[in-house]
Amino acid sequence: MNKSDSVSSTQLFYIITGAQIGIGIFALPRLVSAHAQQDAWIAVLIGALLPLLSLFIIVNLGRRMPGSNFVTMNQQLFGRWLGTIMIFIFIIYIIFFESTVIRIFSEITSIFLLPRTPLTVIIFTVVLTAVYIMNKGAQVVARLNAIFFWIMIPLVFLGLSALVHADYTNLLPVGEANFKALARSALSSATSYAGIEVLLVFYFFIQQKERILRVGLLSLGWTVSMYLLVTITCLLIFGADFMQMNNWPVLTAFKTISFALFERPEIIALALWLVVGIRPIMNLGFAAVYSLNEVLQVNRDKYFYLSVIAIALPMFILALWPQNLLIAFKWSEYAGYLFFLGGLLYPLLMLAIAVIRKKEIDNVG
Amino acid sequence: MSGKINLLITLLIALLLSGCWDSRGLDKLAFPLAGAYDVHSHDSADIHDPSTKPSKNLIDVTVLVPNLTPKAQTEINVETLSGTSATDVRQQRGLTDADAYVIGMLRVIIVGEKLAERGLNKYMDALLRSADIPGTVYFAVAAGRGEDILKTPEKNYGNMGFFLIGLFEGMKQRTFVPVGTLVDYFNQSPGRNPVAPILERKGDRVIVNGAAVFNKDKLVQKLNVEEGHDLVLLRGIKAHSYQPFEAKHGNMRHWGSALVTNSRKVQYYHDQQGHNFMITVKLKGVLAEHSHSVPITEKHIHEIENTIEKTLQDQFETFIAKMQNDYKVDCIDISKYALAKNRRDLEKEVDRPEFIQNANIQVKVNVHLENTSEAR
Amino acid sequence: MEGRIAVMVDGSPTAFFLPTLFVEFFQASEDYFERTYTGSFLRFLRYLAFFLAVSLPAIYIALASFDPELLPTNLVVSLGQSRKEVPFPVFLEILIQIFIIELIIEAGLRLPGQVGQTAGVVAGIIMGQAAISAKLASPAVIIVIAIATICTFTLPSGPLVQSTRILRLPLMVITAVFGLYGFSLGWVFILAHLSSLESLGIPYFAPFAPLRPADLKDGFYRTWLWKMDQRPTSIPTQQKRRQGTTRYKENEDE
Repeated sequence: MNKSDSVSSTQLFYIITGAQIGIGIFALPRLVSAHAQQDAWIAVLIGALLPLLSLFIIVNLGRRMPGSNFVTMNQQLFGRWLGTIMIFIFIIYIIFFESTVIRIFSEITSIFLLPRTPLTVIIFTVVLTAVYIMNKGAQVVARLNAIFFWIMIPLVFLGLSALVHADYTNLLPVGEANFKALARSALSSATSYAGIEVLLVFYFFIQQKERILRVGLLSLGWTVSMYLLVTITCLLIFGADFMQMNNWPVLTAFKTISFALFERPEIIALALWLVVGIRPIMNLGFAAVYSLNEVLQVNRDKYFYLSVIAIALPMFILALWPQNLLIAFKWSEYAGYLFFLGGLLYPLLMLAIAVIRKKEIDNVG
Repeated sequence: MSGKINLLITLLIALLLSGCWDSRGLDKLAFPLAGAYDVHSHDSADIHDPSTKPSKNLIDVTVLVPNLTPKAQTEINVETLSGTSATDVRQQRGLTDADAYVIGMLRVIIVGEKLAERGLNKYMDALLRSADIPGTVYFAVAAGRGEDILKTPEKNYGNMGFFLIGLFEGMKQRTFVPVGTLVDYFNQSPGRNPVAPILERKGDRVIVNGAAVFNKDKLVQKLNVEEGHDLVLLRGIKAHSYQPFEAKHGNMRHWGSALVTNSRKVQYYHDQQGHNFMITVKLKGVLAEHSHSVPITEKHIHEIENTIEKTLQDQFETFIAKMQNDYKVDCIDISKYALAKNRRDLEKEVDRPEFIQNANIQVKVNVHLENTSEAR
Repeated sequence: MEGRIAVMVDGSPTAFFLPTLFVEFFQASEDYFERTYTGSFLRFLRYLAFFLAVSLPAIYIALASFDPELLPTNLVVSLGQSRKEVPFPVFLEILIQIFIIELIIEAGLRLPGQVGQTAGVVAGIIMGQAAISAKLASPAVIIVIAIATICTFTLPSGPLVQSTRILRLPLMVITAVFGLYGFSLGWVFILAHLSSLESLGIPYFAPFAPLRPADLKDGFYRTWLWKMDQRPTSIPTQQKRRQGTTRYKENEDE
């Protein structure tokens, strides 16, 4: 592991929140209130159980296998060939997931900011930025996450000013949704916590491993708070029914405010949202690039950029594939379901094998 | 090797950046400040305009655009075109106008009375769908045609567009008129019905002359200014304005007004008799004008408060009776309190006329005058 | 000196420090003579000046060519009126004005003494007015360029001024193509580049990235002198306390 890959545990906070809070937050209120109506915020809370479980599994897994990184861990648990295949499956999962993120991000940019620019060009700029950043190593990725996090904070306050239109009756009555509706909404909200699996790769970059659990919980807490804030604000302003009519209720909420100087804060919010939206792409993308690099044993200093391009190119092509926004939404739904596999089942499987083969590994390692 | 790749990438990027697809020079743009939608009328469109396809349901769209060219003859340009829908008209403007319209600059939308009676959602969908239009666009109904409002010459305020914007912006601080934006209009979830102010052209002036009550997207009733006053107080739209009063005290007649801010509380409960609403309207403010020149005692202030309370109570009860029996639509936004107790069951019911007709609505008024301003 | 290494070369009038941090370019020695609020205000001003100097022409391009809706309505109408008289597209207009200003500044440097300064001022004013009358530029552009140039003069260190002047141009280009989105894209690239630089192994952009709050007290704002008793944590030193006298709070009143 290069010196340029060491990441501090504080930076891990920014990385995990960066990998999770991306473009999904715009449509989140609509998705969760589709079934749960005004109890959408309860669904957001319930959905948080999934990444919580993931976090515990990954931290436990990491504790059992000290000194190995993501690649060697897979190879030790599954054997050399199956392990390599599992790594490739993980990489392909990340490529697919991020390509849907890139696509939806570019679509939003196209609709609101640049209607006549070809989508290909917008997607290319996103991918180019991600390539540029990923090329520089984990340290830079971590530092940028920190900067972007603090740039996002004023945006949150800006959005909160829309609460002048709040109507508390939109949240009542509480607890009306039946179990089935809550479960379906919780499922949608759980998929928006995708990104926790970035910890699988970044676990091994961090020196102080004993702080990882605490930082992980803090970052999950932050993500949940953000999602709750956004959902409750949109519910208060619009009510569950009206939200279904808008693709991105958060942006519509920005449209309802207007100040003397900024007559259209939603445009500013969107211009800054690139900064937020690129975080999952660069975090998870870097995880994939690093794993690919290690698996293929490529020389880090000279040919790292080849691995970056090897990951970025399929992302670019896949992002272009869906023919319209509705298909892109469908893809993003599938990617969300894949998160259950990649973010929960995969670490669970590894943990199970690690427990079962504990004696063997202790003898070997 | 690496140098050549860098060069290649730079060239590729330069190539891709070579098209500025979305840039539009500021000088080639027109900024419509206000727009009006009306039913089609044969005299309105310019005879030199491109011929519209003959169709039964045409609408007229009028826009008000300030002229940016320095040597233009008129300061503003108000144009009406006919088409089957708003976007059809936008396309036609491409045939008559030299500048591209920046829809995002719209600040006021006026809808003609007759068009509003037909139901607006199908005509206003372009406004909801377009990503450019902000949610803070003011929405009003015109008594008559919206086109007439926009074509009124405005001498004092620059142009009619700025006048209307200024009119709506401060309205809540000056009078009890329900001012709403497009977002308020489009939010037609169960139990919500929008209201809008009514603009009327009187001679060469445009004034606000009441309030319009909608049933979802159809205009059902036009209220006059006093009824609009009651509507605002009952609906709980926070405003700050004068509440007049008049009372007989022995042989003397007092009159005056109080400068108040209003608020309301609604309580709802459901029993065998049906849905019960108890609305409490609170007015809080200071005494602004009083015909009596004797210093006012505490007892006197209480009397004034009671007078106002009683007058308003009667007015409100008349209004509510009319609302329940004539308009049969919830224009004072109380259904949401019923939904707050029991959303799932009542969602389908609240929009039916029977709901508001059979509801038991009671009103209480509470006036609190804090002081008598400077004079005693 | 905060534990740095100084390099002085025989024959050259200047010396420099190693390792260098980005925030050093915003620290001027007279900051420390003032009280903390004045010093901090001056720091903020410099950061704002840097941001404006780099971004203001780009913001103008973004607002005038892509999103006039962001401006207040009255401003847009008057801006549109003044733009209608200028035959160039916005990007070209700003580019011409920037080059004119750069030429004036360089000319002022080359001319001897008093003549140079006067020429700079006079040329600036007169050419600005003449450009507006000849309809080569709108008044808004002149203001934008003037403010951006003044902001570059506020920066305390020479190399920073040079890089600001150069950095504006790519930002303008990318904003001219992509609007506000391009503007934030450009800044992402700038931030990414800054974060990846290292001076003698120390991250250049510390204390902003990696975020070291303890160092922000002299980086971003200037805190009370009695608090500045530790050396910046970004610089690896063996001795953590500053040399020299730092005031102690218990002894004196602020």
